[in-house]
Amino acid sequence: MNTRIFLGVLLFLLVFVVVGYALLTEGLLDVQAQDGSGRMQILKASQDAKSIEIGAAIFEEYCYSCHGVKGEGVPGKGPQLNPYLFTTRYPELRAANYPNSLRNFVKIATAGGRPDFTTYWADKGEIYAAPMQTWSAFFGGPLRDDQVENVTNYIMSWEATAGEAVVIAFEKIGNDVTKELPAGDAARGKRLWDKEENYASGKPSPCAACHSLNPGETLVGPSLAGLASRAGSTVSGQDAATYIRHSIQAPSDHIVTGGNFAAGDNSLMPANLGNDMSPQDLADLIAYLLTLR
Amino acid sequence: MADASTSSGQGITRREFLNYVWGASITLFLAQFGIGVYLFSLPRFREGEFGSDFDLGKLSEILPAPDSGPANFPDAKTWLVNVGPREAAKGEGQEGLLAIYKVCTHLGCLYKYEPSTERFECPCHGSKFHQDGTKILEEGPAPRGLDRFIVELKDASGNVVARTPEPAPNEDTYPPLPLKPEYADLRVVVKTSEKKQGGAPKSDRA
Amino acid sequence: MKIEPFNTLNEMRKQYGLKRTLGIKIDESVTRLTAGLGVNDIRGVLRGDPAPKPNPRVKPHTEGAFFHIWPSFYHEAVTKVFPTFRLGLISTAIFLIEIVTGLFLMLYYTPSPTAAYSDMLRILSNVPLGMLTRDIHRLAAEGMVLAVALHMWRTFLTGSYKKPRQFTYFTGVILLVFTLLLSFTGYLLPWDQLSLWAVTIGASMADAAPPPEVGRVAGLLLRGGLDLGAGGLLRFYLLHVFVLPLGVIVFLFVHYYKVVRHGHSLPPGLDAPGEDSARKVPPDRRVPFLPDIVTSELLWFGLIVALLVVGSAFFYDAPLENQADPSNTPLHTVAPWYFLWIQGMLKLGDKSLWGVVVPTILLVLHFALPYYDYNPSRRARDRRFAWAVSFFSVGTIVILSFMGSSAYLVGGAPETEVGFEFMRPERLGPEDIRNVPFDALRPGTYDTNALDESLKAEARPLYDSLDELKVLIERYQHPNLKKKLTSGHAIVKIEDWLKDKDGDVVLRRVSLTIEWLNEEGQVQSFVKYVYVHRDSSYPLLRLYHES
Repeated sequence: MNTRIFLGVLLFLLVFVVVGYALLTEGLLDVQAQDGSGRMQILKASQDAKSIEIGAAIFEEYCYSCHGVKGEGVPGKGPQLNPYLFTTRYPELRAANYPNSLRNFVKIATAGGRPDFTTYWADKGEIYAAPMQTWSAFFGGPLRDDQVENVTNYIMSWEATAGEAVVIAFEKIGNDVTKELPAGDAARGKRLWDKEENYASGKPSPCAACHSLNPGETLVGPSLAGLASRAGSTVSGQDAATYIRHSIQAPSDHIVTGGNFAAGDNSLMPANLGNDMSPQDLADLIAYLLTLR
Repeated sequence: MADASTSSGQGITRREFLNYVWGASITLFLAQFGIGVYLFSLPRFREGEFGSDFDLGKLSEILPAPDSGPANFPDAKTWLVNVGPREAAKGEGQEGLLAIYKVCTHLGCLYKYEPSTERFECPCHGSKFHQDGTKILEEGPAPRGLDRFIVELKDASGNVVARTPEPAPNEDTYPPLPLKPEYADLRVVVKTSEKKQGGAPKSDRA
Repeated sequence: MKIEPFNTLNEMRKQYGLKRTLGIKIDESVTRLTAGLGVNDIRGVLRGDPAPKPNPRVKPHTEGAFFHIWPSFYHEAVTKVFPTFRLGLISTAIFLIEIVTGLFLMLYYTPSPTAAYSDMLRILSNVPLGMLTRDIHRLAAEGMVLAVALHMWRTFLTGSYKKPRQFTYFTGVILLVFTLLLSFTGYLLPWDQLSLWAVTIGASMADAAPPPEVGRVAGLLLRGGLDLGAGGLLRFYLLHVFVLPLGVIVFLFVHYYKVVRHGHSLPPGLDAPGEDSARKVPPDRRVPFLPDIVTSELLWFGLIVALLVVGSAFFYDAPLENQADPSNTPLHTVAPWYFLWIQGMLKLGDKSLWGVVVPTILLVLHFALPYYDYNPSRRARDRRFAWAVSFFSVGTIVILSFMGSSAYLVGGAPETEVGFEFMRPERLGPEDIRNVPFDALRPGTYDTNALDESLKAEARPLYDSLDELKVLIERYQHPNLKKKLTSGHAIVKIEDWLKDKDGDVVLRRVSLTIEWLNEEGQVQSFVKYVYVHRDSSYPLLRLYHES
């Protein structure tokens, strides 16, 4: 019987010690709250990290095609978020007395979409093919509240490195349709199209966002299946290579019929895609497109 | 009355002693359990929830002009006031940045800022305060000036560069945080967990 | 002026002195509080002295409220570990612990789909001792189901359900059902993927009740809707925190009263068949409740608390998967372990028959057992058939449980299975790429057909993980399989994705591409990707964190 009492003492003391240890490592002390060494702080960091993971996956599934793989924007489809939103756009809004925090701004746009076809890239001549749709289930979209929260957290995580807008110096081909191009490599052109390689500006090719290679499939712009077969006979006086080059550098020169490809007199295709390409990039892309019979 | 039983007056046995020790260990466990219950049940606040810290933004972006009225931050339940020379003279005499709690010190209503009189006025019982939170003695039943939160100015790495100063011996409340030009890029953090009481009412007829 | 009680107290003080007066008054209060034990009596109990005559230690039992349900002595034979293993006591102790931990969790939990999951996250990361409380609650729940089930099995094997204890057993089966329902309703409350889908499967058993009209209504009543949503969560919550605990308390009261009324059944060998001398305990074999039984039960209680606390603090983490997604059922969804046997039966055929009718028949057989078992003997040698049936049933349940698990008959396409094992959406698996520490996830492209040996030296965990992936694919190349990954290999690409303000990489993207040849010799491919953050730790942290 005495043994049992002694065992009882040991057990209750064991529980006392373990719970005491738990209390000491929970994160209640100020120093733990500050350096994040308590269990609660570590777990909170872990939950925030998981939120970003899920947000990144949601971004890839829903937002890539318009805003770019890392938020760098897709001309004609969606404005740049990273880093333009943090370095320029939001400060502009604040200067004009926009009352919301940056996080709320991102969350509102994600949840409720945008009302217009043009946004802050209007000075770059950007017109978008469609306004941003609503994403929150509250407004008819596919995302639950926690998913909106997660993708907002992911987008906000770019703010930490937003100051480092890396400027890559390269020679852009721009809108100059007369400048001589080097010999084109169709294999590299295919890699550009498939985004396995980026343009000289560091940006990936945005073409596949609007142009399908399947016959008859119109995404935003017409299908490019069989392009090489008809490119030489579309505009009189332009051979296939020249026509393709003009389509890229000056899309409003000739707008294809048979679909809704224009807004007024202007083509929906962005006018300044050449600003992100070097002459070699353009040459390679044209060489690849010339293989599409 | 209980009568003396056979066990009184004898020495303590091992079993009895062990039972007392067990009782002590159970008491210890229960005491720790009680502390645990208390700590468990006390609500904690996260950053961004009222009761903890609010990062309101860059000082240069959110600071109103001196003496031009308060900036509104509803989530933090705070009026941010830039006390300039004119208002300081009316009130406690100190200039700088003040984060005033929106709740009246009388009975808990949210007072308003009245632009026509350039002071805070409470609609419930008529208490009136200067822009630096000083209670106007003759106007209204509030017992003291407006409560205020400690403000910290932090740099990009999170270091605290400036903080609301402690009251001087002749001051009865926390004064505004004096501003310097080099503070322009710092972030304003209002610590709603650290609320300080306002000072004694001051008569306007001086 | 003479004001009572000060007047009498003053008289006593004059007569006996202050110290003795205090002693007398304290003794009186203690006697009233304990319904009959004075200070010296209690001291005698603590010393283990033999009880004086007349024995005051029975007074708390005869005259007190709390001690009334307990007997003032036990038969010595039922105080040992064998043959009862004290399982009834263990079940009750765990139930008390569940009430306490459950009450605390209720402080922070809201039973609504929009709040439940974030409340769980808050309990785990912003409530002191929140994770410990939740883990104890979950671990004890599993323990209670196990203890109650084992207790029932023990009462069967020792024949304790026989006359005159039939009704005791009946209430016991009711308590088993309530325990299972308590665990089942609690399962839904975290509102994560595991909760939602496991309970959806279980609740659809209500739909399967024949005839179809009854099943449909039963399902609606249970779920408060056509599928599990806000209505269902609220109903399950009410069941879990109020209705079922109330039921358990009521029936536990009846159950234990009956146990004491007939006396704990003695080990079968002690009585002749048909006899029951549990209430006629010879004086030399009596173990008094005060102090011996109290000491023993307090010790068991301490043992269970210690096991639960130490287990939850260092060894056990209650799972929490991603938030419930009503539009996406994860692969390999299973019922809680105590319902796996039903899920196994469901794979045998019609869900109404195997999911509702058969379990109901089995339950009725359990309830009615004491009423159709006419064998008066409780001894094992006289009950060989009963023992055989018992062990056969337990064996069957084990086999059915295995059949109910996801290892049996539910495999999907092999590339989906490989992708699932390598990148489980909800929790870590043994072959998951996220077992590899973040630093060892070197950016690059890796082909399982051509694993670089130098990777072994640089990033051993990554090499091992890729090697396991290769073995996993080879498992699906077995000639006996209908669908194979012929010439299958995987390409894993790891990319740095995001940096923090100090320039450290915090997020990496891992993509898996499986390529194989189909029957016509054409190359097929399957792609899956996942993001891994430096700070997200799988599984949930242990208390003792090794950074």
